[in-house]
Amino acid sequence: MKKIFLSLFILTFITSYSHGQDNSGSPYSLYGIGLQPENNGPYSAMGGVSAAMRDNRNINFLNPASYTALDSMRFYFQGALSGEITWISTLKESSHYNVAQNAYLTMALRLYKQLYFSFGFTEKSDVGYDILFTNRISGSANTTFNQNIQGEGGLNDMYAGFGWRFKNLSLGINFSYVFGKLEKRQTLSANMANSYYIRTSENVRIHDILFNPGIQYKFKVTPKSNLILGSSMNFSQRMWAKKEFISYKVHSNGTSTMLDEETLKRGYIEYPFKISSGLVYEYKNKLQVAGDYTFQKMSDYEEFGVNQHLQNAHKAALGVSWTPEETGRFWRQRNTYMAGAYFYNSEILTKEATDINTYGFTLGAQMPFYSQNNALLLGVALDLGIRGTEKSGMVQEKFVKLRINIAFKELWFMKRKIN
Amino acid sequence: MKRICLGLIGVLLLIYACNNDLKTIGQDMVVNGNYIEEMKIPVTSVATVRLDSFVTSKGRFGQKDITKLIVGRYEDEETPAQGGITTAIPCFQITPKQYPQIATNAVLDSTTFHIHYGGNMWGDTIFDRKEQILRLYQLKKLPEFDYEKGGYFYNNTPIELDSCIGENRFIPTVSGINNSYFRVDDTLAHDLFERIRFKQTDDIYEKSHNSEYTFLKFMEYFKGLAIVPDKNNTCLFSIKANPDSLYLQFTYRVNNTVTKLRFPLAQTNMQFNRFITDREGTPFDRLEDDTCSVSLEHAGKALTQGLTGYMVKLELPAVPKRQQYSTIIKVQMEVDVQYIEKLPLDFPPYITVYTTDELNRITGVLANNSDTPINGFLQINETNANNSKFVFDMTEYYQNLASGSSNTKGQKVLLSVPSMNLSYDQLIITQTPVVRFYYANYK
Repeated sequence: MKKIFLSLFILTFITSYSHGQDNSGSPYSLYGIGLQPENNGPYSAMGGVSAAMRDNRNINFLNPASYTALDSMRFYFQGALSGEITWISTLKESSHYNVAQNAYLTMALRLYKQLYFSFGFTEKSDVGYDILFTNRISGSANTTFNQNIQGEGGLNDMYAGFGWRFKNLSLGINFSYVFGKLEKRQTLSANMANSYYIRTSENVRIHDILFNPGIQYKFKVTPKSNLILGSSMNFSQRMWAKKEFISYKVHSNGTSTMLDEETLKRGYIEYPFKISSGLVYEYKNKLQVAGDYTFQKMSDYEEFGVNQHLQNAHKAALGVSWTPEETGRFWRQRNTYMAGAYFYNSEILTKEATDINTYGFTLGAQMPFYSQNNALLLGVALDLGIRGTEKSGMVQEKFVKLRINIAFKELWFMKRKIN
Repeated sequence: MKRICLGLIGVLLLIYACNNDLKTIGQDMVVNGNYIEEMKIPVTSVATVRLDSFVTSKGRFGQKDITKLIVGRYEDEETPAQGGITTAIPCFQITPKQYPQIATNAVLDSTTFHIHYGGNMWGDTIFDRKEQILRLYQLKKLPEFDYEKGGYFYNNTPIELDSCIGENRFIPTVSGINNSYFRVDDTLAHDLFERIRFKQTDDIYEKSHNSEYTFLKFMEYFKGLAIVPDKNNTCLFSIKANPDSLYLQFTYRVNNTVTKLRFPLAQTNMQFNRFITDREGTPFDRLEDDTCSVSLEHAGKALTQGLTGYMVKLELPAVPKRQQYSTIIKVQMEVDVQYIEKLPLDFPPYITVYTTDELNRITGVLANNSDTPINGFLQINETNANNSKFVFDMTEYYQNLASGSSNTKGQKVLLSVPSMNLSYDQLIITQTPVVRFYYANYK
């Protein structure tokens, strides 16, 4: 059954990744490198806290120092998929969209004594929007034209990371290969018979290495409780990028002519500095209360040497989890129930310098299933939130996200004592 | 456990039932500098010119396919007059189909000449219908091919008329024309008939074996026919130019048996139309030859019309200079017309565009990429017919110009009705046409 599960999950993950690139539908993904996940990682049911989180059930790839909390004898596999329904509105109109998203796929194991290793594939950002304009042709009395702008793509992160523990201190580092394409397509067509229309595609291809170091320290507060402090970050990093532009003129009868095919720029994008710090209070093995603060210096974001005038981003998250009885007789006693909330603030520099805030409330559970050598953890997280505002021509999004998180850990490294 | 797995599979399927349809809103968030714009540029130097000579025959070897002839007279009653008075005179040959033989005791009852309606009529024949009169004339001499002009006959080929041999009066309707006939002069009719009954030494019906014309002797004797409209006629119409529709017919009796013998249309390479346009009193009086022109400003109008040679000459604008990432998506020339249903003269089905030079000579046909001629088609404004227009799609033509070397001067063109030798359709321009350029600025 476990193998069926695993195969099904991998197949679904690969199929959805190869088949659908539309992982977001938010017009806020227009800016910068797209929409970065506001609530990610294995603790998304706890508001997405991560800086100080560490346990032996989840691979917390957001802070590589947490790898040292994993079981030394087991091989870990974890992945997540999510779906989102969003109702989007402005002062004049409303719409909605549904998207399915692949969150991450990670693996981890202990390499040697206190040295742990993890590798995997996660998502750094998403671009997805499809906006249609209809305007009057300049200079014409009543003829109009349609303009359709579509965005697709995003950045992906393939990482390999190490964690090392010395007594209560854990240090870690992830080496990420960040790659992806940010594509902006446009169709310009006049509402006239027998005319040409224009299709353009502007692609920014990015790839480079990013380093994410992390640190965690565990204090024993009382014999039954611990306090863990943690932090992870990345330095500002220039990432190699290339911007290409292709345009076509297409007739209504289907014939097309290429107008431009050029590499506009080769250079870099400035991936901004980001730091996430937090703490977790643990009581026995039942209760966890965690809080995180994340800062990303988006004002430093540049594309090909040009600052994009984004504003810094801040996130505050709070989460709590409760496991009634880890070794309880009943299944419901062994589950971990989670809840959390988060607030994310960024700003788009429009004429009115509008704040774009995201408020989220999360709920979920992680349900373990044990066999002799293996453990399966099935996590479900529900994320309800509001992003943005209808003021100043912006959009407000109300979303419901459902995430399924599956983790396996298998006993790989125990020698048989009896043949 | 199984229930959990099934539930999980169900949830996964539910997630992937998300349709990933990303039609979002948020147009106001996008700073979008791309757009489509229209530039309206008037054409320059609009004038009327006159093609004083154009082909109205098939050619020496029948190169052109002409199956109709035009006959009649039309006087423009507008004030001031538009194009003047146009008279159309068809000229053609008739011969026996085969060597004619009839009994010597045959008695000639009558000799008639017949025409049949060809499908087109110009003039007010509905609200102001008047009797039309046509007269049949013999030509004084056989028309001669002018090999220096390619063996064609032209609208201004001179004709010399001999005597009138018949008259036809009818109401200008289809049945009126088809049922009418010319009663041929008895003297001529008997002459031809007797020569059939009793063969002469100099038999005019003798076949010529050494000539391409089977009945050359008859043609040299008879010379051919022309139909001349009366000066009070009020319409022009087409007649079929085929042996079954245009013929001389002898009706005779042999022992009380009535028989008919026809001399049908023959030697069609010798048929042609003569068109005479009297421009006196019109704004186009001074178009003496095809190098002359009358501007739109001077005449208050510009005219293109069949049978008369009138064409509108204008200069297209040069391609406007544009920056990078701006391209033509559509170009059309618009000629405003007043579409009034009661007009006695139809608009042409389309307008042909020829290229021309300073001397108004036709140098070619204005065409697009695939050498398809650029024609203008009528777009009727449903809400206000007087705002209708002829629209010429010049997109590919201007795209080619834009992609080639830059030119600052526009092409001179002539607007003409198609089949100028077979149509009296008319287009009157009172406003300067404009060319609309639609540009997409896409980056």
